[in-house]
Amino acid sequence: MTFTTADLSAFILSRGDGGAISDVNLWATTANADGYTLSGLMRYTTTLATSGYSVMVTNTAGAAPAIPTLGEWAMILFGAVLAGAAALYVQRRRLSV
Amino acid sequence: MFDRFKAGLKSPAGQFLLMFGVLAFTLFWVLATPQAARLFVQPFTQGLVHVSQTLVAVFDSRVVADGDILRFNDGRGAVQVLAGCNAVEVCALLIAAVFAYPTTFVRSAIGAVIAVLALQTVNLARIISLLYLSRGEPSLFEFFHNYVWDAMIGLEGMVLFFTWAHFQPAQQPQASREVEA
Repeated sequence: MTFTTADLSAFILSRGDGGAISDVNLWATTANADGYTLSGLMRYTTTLATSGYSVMVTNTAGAAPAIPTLGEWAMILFGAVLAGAAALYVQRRRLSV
Repeated sequence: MFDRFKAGLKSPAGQFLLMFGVLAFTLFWVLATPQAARLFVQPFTQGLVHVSQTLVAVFDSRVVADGDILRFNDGRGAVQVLAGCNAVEVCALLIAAVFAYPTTFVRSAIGAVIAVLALQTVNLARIISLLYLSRGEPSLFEFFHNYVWDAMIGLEGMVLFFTWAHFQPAQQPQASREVEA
């Protein structure tokens, strides 16, 4: 998704760095010409053109990265190891009384 | 073959595994229902974001909670806490293991509460640390997110369960109980 400079100039100016940012991921909430508000992590690439700064914004991930506690396989491994080790522990504890 | 299977199921380990399987399946099934998602998982997950923001606000006022997103107000660094990011599934497995262990209900309930509180405390530390890492080097963020915290959470779950189990009174074998009777 690419926005024009006009779409983002207000945001860039409100940051106070006047377009000096270059090729960085930033959280942005902005409205495009159709009035849709977009939020998400966006990659800003600013280039110096003859008419001034041109800003290209790419919505890289659509949102901030999600951070699952355990991945699918890690969860399966955790469940299997917990169940297996606990079962052995229960068995040995009973036998050792 | 079938007799050996039946004998295995009657052993303490077999009974534990059977009970653990039933409890884990039930908890995961309940958590997967739309009602649980709406009434528990979603509010709990958003609550984690707000608690994280409140904790960070003590020393860093730049962090804001935005729905299920925790981010810096200057835009440099953000993490999204979704349903799978709240450690609820790990807690469910740990609760299943604690209640499947042969001990009294009260002891199991105490163990489950302590385990859930400890896991959620570490999960808050994980969320906050990943927020700060997302601000810096992306490769370091990926490494901590995919390897370091996965291992830490798994290890913590194991340590919590076995520490709790260690303090439970040992059960007598069935044979000796029958002799005593």
